[in-house]
Amino acid sequence: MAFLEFNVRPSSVLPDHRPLFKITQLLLVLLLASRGRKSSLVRLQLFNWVLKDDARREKLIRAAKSQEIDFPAWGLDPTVQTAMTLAAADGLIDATAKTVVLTDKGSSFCQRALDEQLYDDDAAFLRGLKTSITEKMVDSIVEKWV
Amino acid sequence: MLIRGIEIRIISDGESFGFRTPFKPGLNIIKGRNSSGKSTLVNTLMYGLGFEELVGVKGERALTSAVRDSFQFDGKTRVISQSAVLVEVENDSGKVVTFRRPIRNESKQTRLIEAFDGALVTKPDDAVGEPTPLFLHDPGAAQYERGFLRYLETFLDMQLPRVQSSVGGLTRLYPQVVAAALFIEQKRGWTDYIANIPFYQILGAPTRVVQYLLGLDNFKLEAERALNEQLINQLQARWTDNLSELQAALRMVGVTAQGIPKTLHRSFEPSHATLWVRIESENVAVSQAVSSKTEQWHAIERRRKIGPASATPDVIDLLNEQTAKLDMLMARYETLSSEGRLRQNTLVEFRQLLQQAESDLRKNKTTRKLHDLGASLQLQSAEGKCPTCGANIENTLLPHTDGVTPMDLQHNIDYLEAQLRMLKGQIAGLENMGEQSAGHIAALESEIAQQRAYVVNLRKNISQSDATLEADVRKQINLEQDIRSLQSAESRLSTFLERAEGLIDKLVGAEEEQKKFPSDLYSKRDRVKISVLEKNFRANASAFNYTSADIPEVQINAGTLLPALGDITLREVLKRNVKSESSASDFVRLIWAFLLAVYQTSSTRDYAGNHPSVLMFDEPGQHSMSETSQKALVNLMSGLKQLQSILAASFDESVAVFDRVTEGSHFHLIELPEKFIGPMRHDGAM
Repeated sequence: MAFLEFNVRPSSVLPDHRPLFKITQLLLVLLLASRGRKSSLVRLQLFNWVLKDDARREKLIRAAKSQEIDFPAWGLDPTVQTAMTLAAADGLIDATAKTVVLTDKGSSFCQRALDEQLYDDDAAFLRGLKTSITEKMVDSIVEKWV
Repeated sequence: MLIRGIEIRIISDGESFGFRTPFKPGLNIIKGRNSSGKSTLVNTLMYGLGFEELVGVKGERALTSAVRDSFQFDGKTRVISQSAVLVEVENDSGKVVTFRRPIRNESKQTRLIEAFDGALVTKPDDAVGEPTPLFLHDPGAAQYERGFLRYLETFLDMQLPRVQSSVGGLTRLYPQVVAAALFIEQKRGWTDYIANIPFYQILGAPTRVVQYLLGLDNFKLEAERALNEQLINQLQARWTDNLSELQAALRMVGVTAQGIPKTLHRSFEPSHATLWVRIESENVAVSQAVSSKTEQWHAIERRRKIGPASATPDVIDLLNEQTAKLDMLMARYETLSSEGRLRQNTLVEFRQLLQQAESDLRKNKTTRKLHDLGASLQLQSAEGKCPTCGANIENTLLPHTDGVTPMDLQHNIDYLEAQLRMLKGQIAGLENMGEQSAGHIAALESEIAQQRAYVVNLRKNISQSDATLEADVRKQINLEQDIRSLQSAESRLSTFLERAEGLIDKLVGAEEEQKKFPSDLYSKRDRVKISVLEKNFRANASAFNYTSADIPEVQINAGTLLPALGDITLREVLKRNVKSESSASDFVRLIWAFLLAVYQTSSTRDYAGNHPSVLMFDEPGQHSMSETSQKALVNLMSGLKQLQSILAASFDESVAVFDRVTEGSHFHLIELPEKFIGPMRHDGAM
């Protein structure tokens, strides 16, 4: 009898799916581009979707200037929810059903990451937007989804 | 360096206010209640020396309103109409200057610092001449004669080295950067070993500062190494320039070169470089092509001299033969150019893949760094544990799939790096092929043009009896042209090779020199200094009652020159169980121990460094520091007679605490009243 043997090789993971990468990226959204370091989850989903692609970034910059989001929808990514659950359990954010707030621990962690010049591109993009993408702008689109 | 005194001048409603105090060599203690203005005084001192960036911002905004806008006196708020600070400094050779810097002034900018020759604070009656105006925070303030920092550097005889910049190339280690290890303000100064370094794009700034203060030799070696690297890069750039010049010239005449590497390498042999030309879709060496073309030319010449051949059937045969040859060339051209288009598309695709892989690699490296940072904050997710239940979790946000194991971070990085290498190799290969085929296509185009002219000519003359005559002459002219252009290609190559020999000689020299540099750039002397620093640091840490880690296990890391446990820089949180308060104050002990150890090491006989022998600690008793530790600090500072130390503290606003902490120490006491700004006579010059 001949035997066939298989070795399971680990498979490569998209960097976007590494927990700490996603968590920190979203914390930076709270720190740099959210009023009161607080944001609704659906707004975080918007940023998560935008940060994945340069063309989408352009779209959001346009929206920030005109104070109106001119695209009808964005992708909702289940990993955002998982990342925020982990972040909340680690005390980096305080989470309620619909909103998350950055804690002091969370912002000092972000600050360390920024000091190390990680996320330079993302940080520059978010600093440029500041708090110009408001919950109200997000809501006006979300309302139309129902 | 010795700070001899400070004077703050204020004019409010035409009345003179201010504060003046001398500082002595050795330990100076500024004692005052929490609201008396200790920090304002020490921050103003830093401002007077042009170091206000250590407090956070440039210019007078770094200061509190008490010296800038208004202050409380006699139960009333007094508005400041003008204010300035004077700082009197003595250098190691005994020369005294006084710096005067405006804080609020309508006619002078706060970037202006005036330097007087003489002791304006401690001997106000001495005649001093006109001041030298100096400028701060200008681009070049550290380089130019009129720049304040340049003046200060020369006055204190600081030989600040050039260091590697984070954006490539070299930058200067600025005096403010060094000052971050000497003047510790209280807001952020106690959060890291050298916390408040202003951002000047210096790579590993804290390490650089320590290297400078200890006077390590590495700067010289590093500068030499950087120059050497620069030279090698220049040589490479010149090689690339020459090569592309050569290739452009060759492409014009449809010749390709082989055996010349894209980058300069010492193994390159000029004799391996060869030139090839495409003739009837075959590669022929240029020298061979020249001799065969010369031969053809002579053959035609001989035939022409014999006499006109007038056999028309021969001419028709010739026409058919030449037309077939033209068709074959056209077909060949089509194949080559469609291959080229295909290759171009593949290349675009590969470049996109490369970009994607590079971005993924960057993100993965970011994540690796985050794991280090996260671990130091005790984030469970950073250690692959569930923050709620502590169970191991997979390092991915996707739900678990049976039979699929996610790759760990380091393997993922290795994997991506391998992918990058492969893609780069593929792209380089494709580009190379593209270049060669562009040469072939160009050669083919000109061959087709010639052939077409030849065929057209044959047709035109087919009725003439001496039909071949004109065609023959034309062919001869073409051959002459070909030979000339091939010969010019050969002479281009030999010019290139002449230059290449020079470049290779220089490269070999530079590479030999590169090998001579020691791997970590520390000399033997440097190693002794680092071990002395470690010894001093451990002694200080145990004197200050540091307990969060076993002191003998704490080392000075040779790479960062900061205290470390194993390979990790020792910071605030070490053990899981240590309560955060005690570990925070314990970290402050380490900072004291380290900053003092750097001074002690720099002042070691035979191993002297560049420490200016000044330290200023604002409120070092952070995080309810124990009295024993504070006492040990005061004791140690008062024992270092050659060091001028300035210590500002409130001592819990208690006389008893002050007495216990300073018992047995010698020091100069500067006791601040309730509010330190009061009426004071001064000449009003700002």
